[in-house]
Amino acid sequence: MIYLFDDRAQRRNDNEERLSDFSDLITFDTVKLISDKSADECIFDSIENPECIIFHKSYALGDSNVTYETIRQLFASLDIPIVIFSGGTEGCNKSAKEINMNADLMYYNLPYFLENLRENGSINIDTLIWGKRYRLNALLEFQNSLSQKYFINNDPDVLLDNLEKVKRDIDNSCRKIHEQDLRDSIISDIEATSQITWLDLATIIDKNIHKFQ
Amino acid sequence: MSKTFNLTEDQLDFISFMKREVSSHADLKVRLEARLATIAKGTEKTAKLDTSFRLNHSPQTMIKFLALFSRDDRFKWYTHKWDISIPFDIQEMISRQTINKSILRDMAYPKGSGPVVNEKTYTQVWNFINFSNSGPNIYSWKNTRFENIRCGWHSIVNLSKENPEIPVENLILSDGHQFKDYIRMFKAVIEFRTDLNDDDRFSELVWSSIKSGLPKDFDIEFDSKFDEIGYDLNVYCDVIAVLSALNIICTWMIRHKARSSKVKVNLTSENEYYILEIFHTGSYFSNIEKFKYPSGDLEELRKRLFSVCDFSLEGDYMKDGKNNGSLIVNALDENSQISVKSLSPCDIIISDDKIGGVKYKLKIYKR
Amino acid sequence: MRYLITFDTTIVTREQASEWGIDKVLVLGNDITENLLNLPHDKPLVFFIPTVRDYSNSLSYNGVNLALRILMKYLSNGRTDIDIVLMGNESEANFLLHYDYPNALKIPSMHYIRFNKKSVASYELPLRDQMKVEEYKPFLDNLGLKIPSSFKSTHSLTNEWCLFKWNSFMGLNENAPSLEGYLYFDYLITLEKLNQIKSKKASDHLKNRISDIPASRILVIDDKEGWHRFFKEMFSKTDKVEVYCIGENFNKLAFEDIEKIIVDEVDNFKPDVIILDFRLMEDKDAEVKDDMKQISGYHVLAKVLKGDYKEPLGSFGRQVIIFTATSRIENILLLRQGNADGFILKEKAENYHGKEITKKVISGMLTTLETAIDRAKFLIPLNEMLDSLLAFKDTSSRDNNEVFIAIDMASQSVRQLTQNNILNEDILKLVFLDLFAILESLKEDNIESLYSYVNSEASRIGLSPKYQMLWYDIREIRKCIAHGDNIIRKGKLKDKTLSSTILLDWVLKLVEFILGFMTLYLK
Repeated sequence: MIYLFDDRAQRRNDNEERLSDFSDLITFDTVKLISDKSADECIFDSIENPECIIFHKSYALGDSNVTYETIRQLFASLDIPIVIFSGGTEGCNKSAKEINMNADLMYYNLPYFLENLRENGSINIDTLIWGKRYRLNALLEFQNSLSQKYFINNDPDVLLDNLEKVKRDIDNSCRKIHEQDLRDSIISDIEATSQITWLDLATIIDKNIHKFQ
Repeated sequence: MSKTFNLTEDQLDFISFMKREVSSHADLKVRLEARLATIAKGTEKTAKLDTSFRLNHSPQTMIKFLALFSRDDRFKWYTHKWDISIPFDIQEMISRQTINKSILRDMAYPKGSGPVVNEKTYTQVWNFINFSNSGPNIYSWKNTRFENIRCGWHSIVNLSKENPEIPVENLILSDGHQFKDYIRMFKAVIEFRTDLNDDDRFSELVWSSIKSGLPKDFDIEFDSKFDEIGYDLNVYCDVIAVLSALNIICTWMIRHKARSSKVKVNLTSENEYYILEIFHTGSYFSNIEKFKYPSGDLEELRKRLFSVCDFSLEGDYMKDGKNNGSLIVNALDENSQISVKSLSPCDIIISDDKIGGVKYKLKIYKR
Repeated sequence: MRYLITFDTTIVTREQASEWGIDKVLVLGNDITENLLNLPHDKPLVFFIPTVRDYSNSLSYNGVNLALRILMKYLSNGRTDIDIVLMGNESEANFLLHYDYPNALKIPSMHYIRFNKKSVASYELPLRDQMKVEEYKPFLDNLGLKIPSSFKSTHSLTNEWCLFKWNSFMGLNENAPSLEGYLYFDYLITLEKLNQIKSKKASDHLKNRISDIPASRILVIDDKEGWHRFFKEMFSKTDKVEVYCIGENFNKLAFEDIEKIIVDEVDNFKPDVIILDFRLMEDKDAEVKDDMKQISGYHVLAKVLKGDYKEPLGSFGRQVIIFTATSRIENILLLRQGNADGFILKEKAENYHGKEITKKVISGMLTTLETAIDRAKFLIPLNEMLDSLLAFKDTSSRDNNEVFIAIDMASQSVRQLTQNNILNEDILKLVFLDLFAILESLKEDNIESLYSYVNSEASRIGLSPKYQMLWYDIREIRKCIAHGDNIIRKGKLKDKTLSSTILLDWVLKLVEFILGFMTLYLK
């Protein structure tokens, strides 16, 4: 069972209704604090066999001493995907411990995530982050972000001046989307190019996206 | 005023045995008496501090302060997209700010002793949100590039009134940027985040800071865990304070370049905090006095990191060219206090252990 | 004039226009509104638009969709001197592989370059011939745009599209806010606009027809306020037709409450025609899977308004026209069984291919309404009088079982005949005879004995001269029908052909006579 905790009632109810066909897969829940129990105890008492927890980052827990940070650690101890969504988060970030996502994006992709779960019988968290065509979307996000940083405003014919940083960014971005082979291939192509311009870099990335999609 | 200390033969024997030195009792006595006198002087100095008003170093309070902008409905809207189903009334927001200001000020300027938020952390925040920050001298705040930014909520007051149908974050300022560009910039200085520019991630900021802070002939190695942990690190923190500290640490390392030009950067994660360690391998301390009587950029660093993160230095101690064990200097920890701009002294531990260089440690709290 | 649209001012700001070789930078959220159409008319326009707006959902290609919508907006307004240059972070080959509608680049106004300041600054548009607006149609068709899967439900989609089309056709309120933001609908609306000039004359003709509709009252029962506005506006030019609408909140009410509201409003307003939405309670109806009798519209028709010929309800005579998009024959048959008197079929978006059928559909609707009004003028008073006759059984002090049986049987037969058939001469003759059988039940001998009996009883009971005069002509009509004659031989209607017009009138007069006679006879 997937548990989604959202304290914004209107949003929670609207989505629960919209996704009523998946009520056997996902439970829209709230945190009910009981005075002599800790917040994490209250949450854990209300969930059974969780396969994934989706939690509103700024959930108003009613007790100013208890914040999401208190619960964050406990979620991390369960060995399941933890997705933290917020209206104040842009896009999404997938790390080893948790996934941070924009609330609108999370709800937008939720149907694909649930459909995929129903079809395949197992959780593929990438469908929640990147939607139906998750792998391609992730690769394009990688390409778009690097282009924004290194290509849009640079003269395409000028040589790279900070290769170390560029490689580092490629390293980090590929690690984020678990594309080690892509990373190796791009770095290898960069190193094989003696005088690399910004256009060369864009072309190498484009070629590798095509190769790995 | 010097004091006399009555050191017995047994005490001198014991100390000689512990230090595994063969020194004459006379020599040992002179050294010990000098040391004890220094300690007494230090204690006197402490006694002279104004004890009527003590503010405690508390990174946890800073976290509470900065987290208001994510969790508290009274403050969230400064950094979150406004719910367009509710009309945005700038005038109402302006009038509510008096209450908001007093909440923030009470944390930075409490009426009595207790935990406190760093004054600079407060001004970073206040100069961005203050609607009245206008006139010929606009107070600026720094972004992660250390640029002085004069843009804040005061910049959109008239624009919002003239264009009530345009969401506030979309309003275009005189420099052509939408206001949301500045909101994002501000979010990046009150929290190490993972959803803004990748260059504003913790690992990238620290990496860039150290790389640009040290000359190219320094051999800088980042531990493999540094990226693994640092790339996704997400904590509320006065980011500029941490980066400023790194700048100072880099100047120290450059100053002692002759001793070594090798640096290792490590990052570890514990339950309650992260430890960022910058290890200037092969370097050493040659002066204990500067820790006893901190001044200059050490004091500046301590003040800047006060209530931001714990800070300590560990290093081999060489006096007059000879190995003298090592020093652990807790420059900022849970015992640190500030009073009328004076910080409590550093806690200095002398040890026999060999460090292998000088380590600068920042303990960045998670909650 | 060269414009660059930016979604993110950290990439490009207004102040950087000259660096990008652009006349003006437009910022989404501020400058991109309807006012795009107010850009200079005297010069061709070039828009530089990034393909992707939101990198965390790159495959949505929101920038390209915006570009297509801008192009279609200009085409809808008859302007073709537009070029759009898409700026992408990938090669054109990769873009064509990834984007859902790659044929976008086959449209002569659409181009693709890499998103780069220097590339944009140095970009020169390829020369091309100016095209006419209609010449874009095959390129738009070729895009292969599909109905968005995220639309609330097929029912609401159909309603929104149909409302838009009919309002647009009749020159009424043209806004369709709920369709905004969907590329697919922009495409349909653009096609629709390309056809619009031809349809103006047609709509004028239909408007004239509306003014010829006879005096009547129409009750619209529909949960969409848009339809209330449409029908009110459509008939606003004639003061002969009164339109009243209910149902905008029915989706939130319990069925019992809806039932009560409908019964009360029908009682108060006394409509001739009721236009009834088949899916009146959208959310509840969406849950119905197999048994169409559970659909709210059917329930209102069969259990609240009409009933059946054996147990008719208060509105049996009123004409109930079902307003629906269904083309499923089983639904139509079911509604017919529920005694629906006609259908107005909504246009479906997925059936729209640019060919103009709205004129035909609205013309058909007017015909349906005209027929319904005519039928109502006859059937409402007929049914009311039949109800009064049936009530005698409960109020009469005399025990006249044969008469009551005859009234019952006649009433059922007449209702069945009139409900299920066109009111032509043959049917009306049968109706006349069925009703006359009520009088025949008074005396079971031959017809002449009956006539004498009625004559004598009429005097005995003190039947008013008005009714006695009716009786003479009734007998002549009955004689005419019984002998298979078409010409009436005697009386007021002497030498007149027994037409449906006369029959309609005299059926009612017959019932009136029977009612008048029985009121005194059964006392």
